[in-house]
Amino acid sequence: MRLISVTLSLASLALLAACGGADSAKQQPVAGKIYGAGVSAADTVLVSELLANADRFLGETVRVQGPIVNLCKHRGCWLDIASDKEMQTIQLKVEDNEIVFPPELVGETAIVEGVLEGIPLTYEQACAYLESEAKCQGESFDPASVPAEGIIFYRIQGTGAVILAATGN
Amino acid sequence: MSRLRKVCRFLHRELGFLAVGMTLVYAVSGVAVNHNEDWNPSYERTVTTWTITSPGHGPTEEIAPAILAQLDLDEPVRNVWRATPNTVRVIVPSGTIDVDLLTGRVRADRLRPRPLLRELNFLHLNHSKGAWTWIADAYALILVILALSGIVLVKGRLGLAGRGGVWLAVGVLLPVVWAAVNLYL
Repeated sequence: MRLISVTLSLASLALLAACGGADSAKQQPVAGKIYGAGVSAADTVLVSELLANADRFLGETVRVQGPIVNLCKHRGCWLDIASDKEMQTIQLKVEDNEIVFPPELVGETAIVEGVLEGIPLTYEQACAYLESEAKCQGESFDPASVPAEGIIFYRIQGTGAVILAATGN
Repeated sequence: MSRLRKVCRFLHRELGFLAVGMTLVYAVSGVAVNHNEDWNPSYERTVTTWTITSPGHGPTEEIAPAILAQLDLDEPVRNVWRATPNTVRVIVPSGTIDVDLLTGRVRADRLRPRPLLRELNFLHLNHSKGAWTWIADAYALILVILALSGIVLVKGRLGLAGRGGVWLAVGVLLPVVWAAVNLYL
């Protein structure tokens, strides 16, 4: 019985030691709170440049930086990074439950990284997708905002992000 | 058998105390996230609308001060972003405030963390990853030990050979039958 007691105590100590090491805000070269694998790509690409030359970047690992202007309020599985140009964003999509972005991040500046992908959507597909996203966000959706020829939905399949300090505080 | 029972009683007692905190975390959060189709288990969402005087369609940096003055916010502004030609989004720590530049209609979409539940769900859903993964694994192992050691604690007609055995069978059959019916029938 004493042996079991000692074993339990040692296991508890190991757990406590593990607790001491628990820290989701790990540090790496880019200072800030890290989600997923963080960022490692050497250069940051402007969102406007990325979208203007999407064909060149398709399938490539890219890193962009900008304020988070929208994110998935339900599962925290995507966020929109504002471009250096007004009215333009790029979405970072991450695997559900692999990385979870809390809603408090909206407005913070993020550096995000992942592979750029382009998903061609017909008008019907685009409407269905955007309507479902709007419903999930509790927002309205106007089908007239979708071009009749459909869209190519560019997004970054994300591997990680670093959240920098709030810009406006 | 009596030595096995003695060891099990010891394990059940010691680990039982150790598991109380974690069990409450997972049980309370379990109920909360079980119904996440019906509600956001971690945040309370409020959407409010009102109208301000239309600030016009000028460049964002020109109309932003007028918008902010009319909104009269009681929290810091993180960002002001032109979402569309007719929409400016003001971002504050609690959420987003969209201003329609044509009509002056304002829509504030705010999320407030649910006290305690947000923290419990954070732990249960393992959002922090890292060492918590191992702690949760250890807790799962402890639950297995508690379940197995509990089987032999009581002797006689209330134990495994009697009523306890019936409850054990019911508890095992319930998930087995449910899974079989829903997956294979």
